[in-house]
Amino acid sequence: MIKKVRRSLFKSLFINLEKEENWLNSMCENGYALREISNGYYVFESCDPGTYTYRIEFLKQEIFQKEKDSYLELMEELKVEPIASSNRWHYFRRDSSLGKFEIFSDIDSQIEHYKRINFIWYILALIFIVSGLSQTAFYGNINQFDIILNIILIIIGTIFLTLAFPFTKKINGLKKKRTLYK
Amino acid sequence: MQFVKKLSNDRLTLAPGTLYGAIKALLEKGWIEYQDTDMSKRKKVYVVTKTGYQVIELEISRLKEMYHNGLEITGGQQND
Repeated sequence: MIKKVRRSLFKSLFINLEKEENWLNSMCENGYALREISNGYYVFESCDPGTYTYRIEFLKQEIFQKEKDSYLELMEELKVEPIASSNRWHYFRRDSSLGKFEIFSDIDSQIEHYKRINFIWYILALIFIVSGLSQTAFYGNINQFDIILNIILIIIGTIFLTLAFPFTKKINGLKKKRTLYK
Repeated sequence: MQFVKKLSNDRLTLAPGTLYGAIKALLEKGWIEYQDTDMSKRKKVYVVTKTGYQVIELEISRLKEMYHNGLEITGGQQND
């Protein structure tokens, strides 16, 4: 049996890595395994509950541009299935019976992964918030339409910030853990 | 990956993304190299280079020194 779930524009623009992973894994717990993402739909097929563990990675720029094939090859060699991708976001799954599935097992690459994502979120947040504020700051007199537009820009920027903050917190937590180990 | 897990008594697991980074770093340092095998196209095989072996030996002797220093300090209860 196939089940399709619409992937809203909001969800594809503001990807919340952890929430998305948890959602896919709980879908699989309930017997629906993500098979692909196509034409704006998540396509699920029925599976035995909990067959797979899903993980999402935001690929490194250099891997995404030059080494994607060899990266995905290694993944498959290690029994990890590339399921879907949108831009640098890649969705993977592995059979749960093979044990706990993580993409990164060392603290440094975990930190690096979160930093990669946050770099993008903070830049986008900055762009939107600055452009939302600049008109008011520089020109003073603006009409109603401008006000609404600027508010929307600032809201979008703030959403990017709310995506970034949890990662910043995580990065700091991981850094602390790293100092403990050293 | 399985080998690492077994070797370390389940303490270490090497996840795919981490492994990829490790292989790349070792290749860049020239400590391993890609070996072309027509036996199986699916699996990539890497072998340790001469430099790689030298580095391993150096590391082993460094660990040995640490091991012996540790024994000396604690009174050397443990046999080799």
